[in-house]
Amino acid sequence: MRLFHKKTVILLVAVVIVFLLASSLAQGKIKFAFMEKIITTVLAPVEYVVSNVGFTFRTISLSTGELMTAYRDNQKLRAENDELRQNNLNVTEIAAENARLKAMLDYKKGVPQFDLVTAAVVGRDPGNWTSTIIINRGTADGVTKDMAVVAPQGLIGSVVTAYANVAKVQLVLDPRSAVGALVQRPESRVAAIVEGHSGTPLTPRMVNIARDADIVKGDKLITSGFGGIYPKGLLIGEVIDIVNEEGGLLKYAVLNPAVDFDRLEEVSVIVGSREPIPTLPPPVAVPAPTAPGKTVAPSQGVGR
Amino acid sequence: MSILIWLSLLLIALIMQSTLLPLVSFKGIHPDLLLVVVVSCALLSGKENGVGIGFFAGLLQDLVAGSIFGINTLSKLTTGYLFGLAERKVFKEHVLLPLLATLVATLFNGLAGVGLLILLGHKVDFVTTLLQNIVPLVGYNLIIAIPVHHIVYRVVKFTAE
Repeated sequence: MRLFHKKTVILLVAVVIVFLLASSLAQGKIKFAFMEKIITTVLAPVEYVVSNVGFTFRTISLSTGELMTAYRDNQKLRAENDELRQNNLNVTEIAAENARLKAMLDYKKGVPQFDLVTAAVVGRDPGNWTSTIIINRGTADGVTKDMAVVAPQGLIGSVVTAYANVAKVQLVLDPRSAVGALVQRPESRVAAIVEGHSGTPLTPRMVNIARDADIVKGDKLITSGFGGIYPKGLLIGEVIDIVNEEGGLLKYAVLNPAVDFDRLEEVSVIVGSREPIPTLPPPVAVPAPTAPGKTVAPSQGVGR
Repeated sequence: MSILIWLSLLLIALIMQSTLLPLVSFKGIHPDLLLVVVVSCALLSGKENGVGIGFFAGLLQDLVAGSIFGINTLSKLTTGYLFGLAERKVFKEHVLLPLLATLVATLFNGLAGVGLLILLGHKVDFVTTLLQNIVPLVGYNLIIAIPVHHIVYRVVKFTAE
């Protein structure tokens, strides 16, 4: 029955080795690629089946619950629909105006075009300290390390390890993740970094903002595109609180992420983006040599 | 033979913890099934088994989802050892045993985890982590403690025969 005889020495050695490995892994010196690969790859299909069963059960229970509130929701949605129709009219008008103005400026449309690979979430991080998910796509589908992962609502995270048919995605909630972010409000455009926080696992923080920076509750944060992993313009979340740090110089913003991370079932990996390079000046009608500074400036100003 | 049984028990717990339990998570916290299994094993079959089960449970957990390596291995190993020490001092059939043990173990395991995170140079906000992470985890683990204890009790009896 006894698996382990009383060998304190072995135990101590094991503890020391694990600790040393842990500290060198924390500094990113080595990685357990092989062991991780085997365990993740072997477990993924099982996890896929089990989580599918779980999702089915939850969908059934959720839809039963939703039947109860269907009538009230219907009424509410009708009212909202009317309002949206009205808004839509305004938007069409604004879009037309936008198109006219853009044509006037001869500015190429800066809509990011992404190549997406859809993947199912097969497993979550079994621990409570970090936030990663396992998805059922890997290098065979073109998914590699450092690709951004999104949902229709916004940013999810980035791929940290990709195996043949499985990949691990670090969520923006993970304390180890850092995303360059920008306040979407046109008057503000404050840039800082969004980090996960182990104490409050569902609310990441935008840290190291100057005390007098223009950021208020309700501001939407988007990725800034700095750093190269995340393309610009993906929604990260909304500011729900702003806290002054003790030092007196900085403050941080607490975010409500755009994506409901408790309910992740399917995600998209951005395997390629064809975003136009913003520094290239749009072709000017007159081919005569112009000062480069003059042509660059308007394109960047309108680009957002 | 008994090694295989324990290993499959751990694997089942691990798979459940990474697939089904996140579906019932509350504010990002889901029950730590493996910890409850480790505590029950240690209390019912002594420190040698406690250390072994704790070590492998933590190792699997650390490897499976690319979390910070060593955190779970070390904290679960220590928890397994300490509760294994108590094996001969507790009344194993008492219904309060798993509850009390899970309460203490979750707090201990959480504090050990935070301690390791700080030692490894990660930024940890101690008070918020305690309030928002460890305390809800205690509640969640208490819910699953009694059924898990029963299952482990059966398994221990089965392997002892």
